Amino acid sequence: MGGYEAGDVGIFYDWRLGVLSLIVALVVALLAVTTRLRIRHAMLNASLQRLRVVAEANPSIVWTADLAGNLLFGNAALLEYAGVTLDELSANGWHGLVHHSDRAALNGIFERSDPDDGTVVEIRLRRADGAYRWHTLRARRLRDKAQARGGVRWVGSCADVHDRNFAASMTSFLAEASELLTASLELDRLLHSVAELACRYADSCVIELRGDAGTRIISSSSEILLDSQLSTLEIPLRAGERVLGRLLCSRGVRAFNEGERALFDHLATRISSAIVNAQSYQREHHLAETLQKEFLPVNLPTLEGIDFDVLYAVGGPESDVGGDWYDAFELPDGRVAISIGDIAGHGVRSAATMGRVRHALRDFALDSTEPGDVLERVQRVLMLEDRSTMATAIFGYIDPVAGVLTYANAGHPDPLLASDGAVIALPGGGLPIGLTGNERWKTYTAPLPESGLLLLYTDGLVEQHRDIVAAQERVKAAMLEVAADPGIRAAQYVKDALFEEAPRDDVAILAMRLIHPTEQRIALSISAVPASASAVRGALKRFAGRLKLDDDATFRLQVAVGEAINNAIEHAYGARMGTIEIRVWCDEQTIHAEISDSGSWRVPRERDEGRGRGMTIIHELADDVNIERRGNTTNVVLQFATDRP
Amino acid sequence: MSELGFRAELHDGVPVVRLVGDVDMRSAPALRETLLGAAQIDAGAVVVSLRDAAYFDSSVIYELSAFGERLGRNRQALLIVLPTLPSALTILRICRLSERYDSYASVEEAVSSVRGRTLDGTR
Repeated sequence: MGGYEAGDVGIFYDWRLGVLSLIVALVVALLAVTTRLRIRHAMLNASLQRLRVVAEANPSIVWTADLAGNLLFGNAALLEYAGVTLDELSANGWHGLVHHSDRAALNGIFERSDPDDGTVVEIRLRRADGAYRWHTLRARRLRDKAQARGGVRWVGSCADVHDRNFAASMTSFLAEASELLTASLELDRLLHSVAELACRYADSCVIELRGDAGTRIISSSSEILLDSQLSTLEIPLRAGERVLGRLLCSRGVRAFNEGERALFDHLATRISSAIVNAQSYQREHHLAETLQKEFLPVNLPTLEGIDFDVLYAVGGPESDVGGDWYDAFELPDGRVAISIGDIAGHGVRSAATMGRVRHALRDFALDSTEPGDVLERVQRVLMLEDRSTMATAIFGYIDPVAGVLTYANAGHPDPLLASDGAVIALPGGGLPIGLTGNERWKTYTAPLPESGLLLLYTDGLVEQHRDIVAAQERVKAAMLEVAADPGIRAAQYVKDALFEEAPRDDVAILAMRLIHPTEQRIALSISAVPASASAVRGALKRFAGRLKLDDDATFRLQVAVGEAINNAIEHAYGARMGTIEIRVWCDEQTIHAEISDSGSWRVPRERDEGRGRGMTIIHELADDVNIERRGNTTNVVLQFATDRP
Repeated sequence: MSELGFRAELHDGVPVVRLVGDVDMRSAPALRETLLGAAQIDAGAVVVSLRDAAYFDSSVIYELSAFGERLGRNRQALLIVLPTLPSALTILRICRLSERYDSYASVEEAVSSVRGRTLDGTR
């Protein structure tokens, strides 16, 4: 073997050629790749260039961004819309271009991991004049890096849809405003709600409302801008020729455009209409409420045996005033007539009917002793006037000396009586007045225990509650608390136990706490006029009745106190107005009476025939008379020995 | 009870003014008018009954005193029907009404007395 064979030489030669060929082939291949890359690069550059050319030629906004969403390019339409140069756009990016409220939506696009689907959002872009207009932004992420040149990973466009959106939002806004304006009749509340709503298109909103009492201002809760910053829109609120006020909307960013002006014009029309409606309702409500108050008694009897407490709660401002009433007045024979009731229906008519019914009850109470009879006579009067009138009512007499209630009930909630730790509903009942027109009512009698609590109320107290039975139980529970604590004002306490806020319907409550005789005393303040004396005599008569004084002792007490009052009226005050305080109480076997005035009191001269006999009579009837003067005050202190049991 | 607390009647042609219920300073002027009206009937006397009065005070005493004097000047007489309560009688006594004027227990007695009088007011 020692030398090479011919084939061996060939192999050596081929190895060298092979290396050379390989190098050549590699170079050729490299050149080919490079050439292809150059071609491809050139093609891509041409493509990008074409994209830019196409983008520039496009009237819509076209943009590109890097992977993170940073703006790289915006076409002329974008630059012109935003009023910026390409450099400014590149430097500031989306900041200052997109409304701050829409940036989250925009960022959401660039945070998407799925590159395949195109994305569409609606955002507001700031125009060169500062106005923001709604645009539909479409964005597509390039599939791979090979598609991207110059860092471009996102390509997108924006189409102005503002006018279309504004028309839709305007319709929606006005519909919402109309709903707000008809949802309430409480003027201030509804105007405040609308002012808040108006801030969707303004930074702040003020509604000035002119009225008889001056101009009221209802504003949105947004911060009021300084004058220098304001772009203000002022639109009068009118009802025909009558100016109701004005609508003032302010914005700090830019002036209101025509579309927004038109929007607020429409809003002002709706506000004006709502104001007229609400004011009309308020006038009727006020009239009915005034009538209602006028018809309710100003003063309740001042009795030493019964402590009255009443309450009339007018329903919320959006409720119609009802025809509820309560009443209590003293009769000449010492009894007390009481009534409570509710006229069916609401408004001025019901309030007026209530007034007629209450006065009819007063008239008939004077010459009747049967509550059922009184209700029948009231029914006859009502039927003569209007056969459609209907009312529920309780009418009764209280004999404070005997401690007895006689009553009749025409379809009204039962009277409640709290005593000895329990509350009972007093029996009785019949159809409402006017239901049949010829209803008759039975008279019931109930003893009124000392220290008891009698409560009459209208249905508004319990019927607002979902569970009426539960509400009635709450009334009873509150009554037990009141009965146990003489310091509690009964009517208010019971009402507060049922309502945390103002009741929706009117509520009338008449509560009577029956005071134990040992706790009795008279404390009256009367005007120094002759007409006041009869009230004092009535109080003295009941006081004497409770103490079981005989007729002569009662007469002595009444005449002696009455003469002291006459002296104060005639000799202390003369023609001047003043007040007289009367306090009477019983201590063991002695009755004390103190009559005080602040006039220029003098003991009448005996030669004042008749008039001067007052002091003589006082000295004769009272067991002890003492006249004390302290400063401007004169006290006539009388004592009467009694042999009461 | 009427609001004024008194009423004027004729009994056998004799004017009778009854005080009923409470008569006080407030009703005294109206009482005066009623008494003067009753005095227009020329029966020689006017009967005033305090029997049904639940309350009367010095203002009533004053009116009755003044009225009695006026009747006397006109040769007429004031006859008083007494109240029943001791204290009411005391008032008439200390004011000397029961001393100055003839007093009776009932209206009928007083009227009979008047019918027995002569026209000049004397028995």
